[in-house]
Amino acid sequence: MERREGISKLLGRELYIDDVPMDRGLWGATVRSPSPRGRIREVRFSPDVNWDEFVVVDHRDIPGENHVWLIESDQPVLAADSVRHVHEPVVLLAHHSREMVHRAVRSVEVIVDPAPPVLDFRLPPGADGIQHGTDNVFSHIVIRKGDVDAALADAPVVIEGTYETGAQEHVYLENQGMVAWIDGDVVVVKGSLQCPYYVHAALTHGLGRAEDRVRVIQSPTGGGFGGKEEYPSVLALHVALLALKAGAPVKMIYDRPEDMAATTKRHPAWIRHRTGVDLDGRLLAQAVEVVFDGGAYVTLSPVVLSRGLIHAGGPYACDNVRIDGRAVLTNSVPFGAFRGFGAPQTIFAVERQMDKIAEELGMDPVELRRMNLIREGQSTATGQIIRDGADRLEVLDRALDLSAYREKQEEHARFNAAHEDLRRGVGLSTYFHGAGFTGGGEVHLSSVAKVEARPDGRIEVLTSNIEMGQGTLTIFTQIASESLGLEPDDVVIAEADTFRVPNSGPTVASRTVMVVGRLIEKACADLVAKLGDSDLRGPDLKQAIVDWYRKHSGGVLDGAARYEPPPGTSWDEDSYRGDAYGAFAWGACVVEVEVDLRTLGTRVLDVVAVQEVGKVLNELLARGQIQGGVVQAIGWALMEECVWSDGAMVNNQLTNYMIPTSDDVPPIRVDFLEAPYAHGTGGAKGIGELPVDGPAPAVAAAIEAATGTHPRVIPVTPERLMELYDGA
Amino acid sequence: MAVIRDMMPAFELFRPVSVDDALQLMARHGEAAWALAGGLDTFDWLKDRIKRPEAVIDLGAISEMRGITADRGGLTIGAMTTLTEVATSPEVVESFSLLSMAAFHVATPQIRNQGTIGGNVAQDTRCWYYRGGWPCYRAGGNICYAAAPKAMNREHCILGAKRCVAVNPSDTAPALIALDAQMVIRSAGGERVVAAEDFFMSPAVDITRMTVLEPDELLTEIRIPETWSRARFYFEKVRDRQSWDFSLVTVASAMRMSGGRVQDARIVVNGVAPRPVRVTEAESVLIGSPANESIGLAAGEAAIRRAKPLRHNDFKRPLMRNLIRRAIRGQEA
Repeated sequence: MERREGISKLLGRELYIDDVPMDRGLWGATVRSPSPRGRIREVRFSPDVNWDEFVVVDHRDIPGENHVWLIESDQPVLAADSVRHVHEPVVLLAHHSREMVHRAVRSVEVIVDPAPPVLDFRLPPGADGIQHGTDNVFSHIVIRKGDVDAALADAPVVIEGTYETGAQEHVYLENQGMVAWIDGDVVVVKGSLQCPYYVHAALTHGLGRAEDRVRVIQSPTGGGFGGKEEYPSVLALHVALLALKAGAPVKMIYDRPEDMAATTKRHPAWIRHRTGVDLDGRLLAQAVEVVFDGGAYVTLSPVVLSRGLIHAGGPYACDNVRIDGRAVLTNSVPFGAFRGFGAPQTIFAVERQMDKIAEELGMDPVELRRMNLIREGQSTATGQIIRDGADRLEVLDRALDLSAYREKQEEHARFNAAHEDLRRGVGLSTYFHGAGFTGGGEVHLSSVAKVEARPDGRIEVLTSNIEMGQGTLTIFTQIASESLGLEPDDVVIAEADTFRVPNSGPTVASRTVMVVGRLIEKACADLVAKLGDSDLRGPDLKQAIVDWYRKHSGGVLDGAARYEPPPGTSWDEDSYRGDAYGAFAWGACVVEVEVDLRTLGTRVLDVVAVQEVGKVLNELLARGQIQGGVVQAIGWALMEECVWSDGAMVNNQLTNYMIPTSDDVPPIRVDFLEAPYAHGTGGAKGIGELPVDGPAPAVAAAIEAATGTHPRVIPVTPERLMELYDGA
Repeated sequence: MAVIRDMMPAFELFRPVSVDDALQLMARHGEAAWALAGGLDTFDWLKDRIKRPEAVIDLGAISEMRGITADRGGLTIGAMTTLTEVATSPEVVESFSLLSMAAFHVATPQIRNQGTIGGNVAQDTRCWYYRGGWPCYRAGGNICYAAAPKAMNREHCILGAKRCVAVNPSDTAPALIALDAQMVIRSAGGERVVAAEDFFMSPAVDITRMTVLEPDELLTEIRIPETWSRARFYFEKVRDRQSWDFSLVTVASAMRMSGGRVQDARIVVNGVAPRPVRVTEAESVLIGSPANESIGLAAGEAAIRRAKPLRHNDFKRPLMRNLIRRAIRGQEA
């Protein structure tokens, strides 16, 4: 079927938030902290500016609670007495002229009495660095299975390895942007966002308003990747505060440097593995320590950590596991949600560790994985028994076949012997990704989806899940039209407007199709049942709807469904035991690289990504998700490096923060295996994040095969490889 | 951070159809004039509101400045010829493929379709402190932010820095120097011809300019002499990704062989100094020797002997050495 918004995007007709014209509106801008930590002594407004022309907002103008509603209430909407990171918002300005307001930002000086900042998350903070609790630890989680210490003591071989991954910027095409206006006694905020009800909750708390006096509308969103999960709550509060004080519409659009410097990124990670194995390579014990840099405020770090830890043992069976992880404070711009949500970091580490184990045992890394991959009936680190009918060995074998892995190894031996400057290598990773919220998250969300029939027989789907380029509008249309036997044109997807759509949860965690799609199916069934004949479909259904409206003047025919957990699942948050996710998707990735020993540049020559994601509902969209995720992971592995100074990104422009272009990635070969998941829409499991988990360790393994170096830290830039490779 | 984007300050726009008219306008507006070619360097400056010219003179309608003509075994290339035209011209590809390769390495197809060879050689530096509007030496201030102790200077100079450590970003410039091209410069007062090697300005001479062009002058055409026609060429540009990226180090070379030995050679690097540099140290090692791996290495070592890396760009030394070595030996099959 045709992509719903495809033509309007192709023709440039889609109106993103900055394209929406404003009558009588003001432009908003943000004055930020120049300092990573300290007390605000003074905010000095230059006498050269006529401040009467400006709307000026600071923390005293906040009608509700001065914090951004999320897991903890530590992050202020606007700094009051002190700052904890460079670029922390302190004052907001608005003016009729965009140029004037941006110029005025430079005429406000935030003077900070500095305190010593904590900048390296890997080191324990000094006494004068403590800013959260007694130890700066935002969250500490331990997953325990079996007896790790005893198993390590008994293991014939214990192998240690330490791994690090860097921050990553989302680089969504559309920067963060919002408009706010006042409609009667309702504050309306419209903008680029993933989670309308997160923004709604943040506004009710921060503005101290009743739920029905705050309205949030999503505008067409040019990419999110998690970057528009929690940050839009901050921007929504800012733009709403300005609009309330101005009594006029206000628009705030970040430019690229501001967006890159001031908004969230993927958590940097430090991970240490101690693995006990027997001489055949069987995993006996996995002891894993994980530290994530949380940045200056808690934001989503505890849940990012949680997902990271659950994936930290990899898709392998091991009887004795201890995964001990912390997310810690630094005086850096807060880190946040990013596609994969902690799992790409921990999977990078465990996959590199598997390669290290193979090397130390003199084993083939493929066979080591084959031996240890979870079999049907075995359990994960949290004790979740995997019984999903998926064949993880077949996923591995398909990737080996499709990539001609063995043939490539032989071919590379010949190629490398014949070349002075060039080296080729191939690397592999196997991985998994849990779809939907972790543990009891989906139960807690208790999502609701609705469908509403229109008098002409069409069906409108109402959810708070949004399109951001990944295909929500199309796949929801497909799900509703297929479950009702209607044409795609008979399905309308409602704008994500909190005045109209129920809370079906955020558009995150690979949950949209698997969880919300299922609710749409059930809501459709609920609607049809109200017509008295559950078998009605297609033209008959349409006619029945038209007839219903003729009889029920003024009525509304609708259907709804609320989330229910799959039967037989259980999760204990305190002990971190049980069924962490309704389902895991499984993947294997093979990457071939060529390294130029004279420049130490790495080119990716071939990528094969094979995955088992339950049933594939729309192959074109699914392939797009895999390919896009692979590209993002290649960028993270090879070139995307955030450079920091005082906890702020200083290469915050696209001329020196490099993302891959189409010339940097080969055609990505994608294949699917299908083992339908009983509780997902049409058998589907989540797909959005899985593809980001596998490529980075496979890239590093391929570089290792090519050069004999052991990349443990990404990105593997030429400089970093030069340090590892002496003979350049 | 505080730079204002997406809006241009107001200016008067002129669109002359002849070089003479353009030169009259340049003379009339002097320092307030801004010559616009493909616009790729210009619009960044204007949108960022860092440069605020009063009169923008769009050269796009001057047909006499565009095109490639064969000329006594050499070529004359109008300054407004697009990079795509240069890269794909049969005359260039046949006799001076070095220039074709260089033009082909600029940015992206879209940018090559719009960008001109004149603009490519005359463009300003990409030092991001300077481009970000910081009041550095080059912008008339009294500090170089890129050389400060905590500065980010991975992309900057290892050679020839004088207060400013920014590098020349042009991909075609080193090729033109290797080919001994002549730059034809006109003003209302007349014409002068400068060797490509002398066209680029050292900050030791004038820190605010990248080229010898005076405010009232235009680069109108580039003449490539027959001298290096169909010589042995080598071009390699190392960058962080394969497209849409400025050079970290580039080498462009032309060699004439005779009896298995190098009879004459010009080796030029860019991305390492404020101006593209002809590496005479390497050339003198090379001339009279066979073009092999060990001579290449010796020439490369000679070339970097005077290099002084900054905090974050020590990698450019082995990179420059290795590229010169490879230029001499040639690419592996």
